[in-house]
Amino acid sequence: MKPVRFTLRLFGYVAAAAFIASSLATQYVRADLIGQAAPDFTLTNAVTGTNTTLASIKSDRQATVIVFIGVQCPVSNAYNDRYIALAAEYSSKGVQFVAINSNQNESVEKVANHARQNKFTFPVLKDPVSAVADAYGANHTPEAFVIDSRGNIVYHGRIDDSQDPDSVQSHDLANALDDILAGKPVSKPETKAFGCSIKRHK
Amino acid sequence: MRSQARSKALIAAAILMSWMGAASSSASVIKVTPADAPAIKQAIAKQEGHVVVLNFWATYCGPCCEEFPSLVKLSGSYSKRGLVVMAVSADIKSDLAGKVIPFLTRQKAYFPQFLQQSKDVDSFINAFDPTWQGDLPRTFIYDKHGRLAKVLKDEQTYASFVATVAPLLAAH
Repeated sequence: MKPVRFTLRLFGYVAAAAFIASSLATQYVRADLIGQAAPDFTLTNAVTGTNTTLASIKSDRQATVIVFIGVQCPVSNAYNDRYIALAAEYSSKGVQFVAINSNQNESVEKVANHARQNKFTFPVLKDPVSAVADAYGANHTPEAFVIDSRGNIVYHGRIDDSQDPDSVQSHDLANALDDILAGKPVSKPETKAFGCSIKRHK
Repeated sequence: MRSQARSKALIAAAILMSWMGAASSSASVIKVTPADAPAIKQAIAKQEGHVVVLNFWATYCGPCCEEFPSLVKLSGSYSKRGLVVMAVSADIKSDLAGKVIPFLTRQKAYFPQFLQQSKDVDSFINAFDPTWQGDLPRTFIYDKHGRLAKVLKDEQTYASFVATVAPLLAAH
C-alpha cells in the first residue's frame, strides 16, 4: 500500500477509536452506581416553592424512591397513576417517594401545573440545569433510584416492564422495595426500559 | 360514426387503466418486521460493505419524530453511495397499526423498519450498548465491516447525520 494511503488509513483508525472512546467514556462514570452513596442535593419543590434536600427527605426512612419524571413524555405520563399508587402503598411502610423533573425545556410552572393536574401526592422537585440528573447518571423518564436507610443506592431502573399497565409482568421497583423492607439484598438491582431522554438543553 | 365513438371509448378506457395501474404501483406499502436483537444484528451483518445507520425511535418520542425526516432524507441521498438506514420502533405492539405504520407511511420511510419485540427489554438494550439506559432517540452507526463506529444520542439534524456517515462511507 502506498505510504500516503497507509497514513490516511492509520489516521482513520485512530480517529475512529477516538470517536468510540469519547462517545462511551462519559457513560462509564455512572456504571457502578449501585452500592454507592446517593449524591446529595438541594432542589426547589415546584408546587410549594420550598427548598428540599435529600438529607431531609431520607432521614429516618426505610427507603427513599427518587423518580425522574417528565411533563410531556408519554411514557412517564403512562405511569402517573402508578407513581401515586406506589407512593400510597409504600408510605405506610416507611418509604418516601419523590419525583424530580430535570428537563430543561419544562419550566417550573409547567412542572407545578402538571403535578397539580395529576394530583401527585409526593413532592415534585425541579432540577433546573439537570445537575442532579447528571450526578445520578439519569438519562430518561421515568427512571427510578432507590436509596436505602444507610443512604446508598440499591436499585436503579424502571418502575415495571410495560408502559401498558395491563401487560405488566415484572413489578421491578416494587420488588426492590419489598426486598429492602424484608432486610434482603435487592435481587435485581439494575433494570432498563425505553423512555424519553432527559432534555439537557432548552 | 359508431367506430369513432368506439375508438374514443377504447382510448378513454386505456388511459383510465394505465392511470390506475400507475397509481397502484407508485403507492409503496410500509412493512414493519417484529424483531429481537439477534434478528436486527443479523440484518446489519447482511449489509457487509455498507455503512449502516440504525435508529431507535418511537411515536411517543417527540424528538424522534422531529429527526425522522432527516433519516428519510439521508436514506434517499446516500443509499446509492453505500449507506443503509434501518429504524427500530420501541412502540408497544398494540400501536403498530394505529400509530407506527401511519407515521412511517406519512414519512415515506421506505427503508427497513423493525418493531422491537423481545421478552427481556434489559438484554435487548444491552445487546446494542450496555451503557445505554433505553433513552430515545438513539442511533448506532456501523462501518462497512459491521463494527460499531459511532453512537449518537439525542435528536440529530440532517447535517449531523451526514457529518457522521461521510467519513465512514469514504473509508475502506
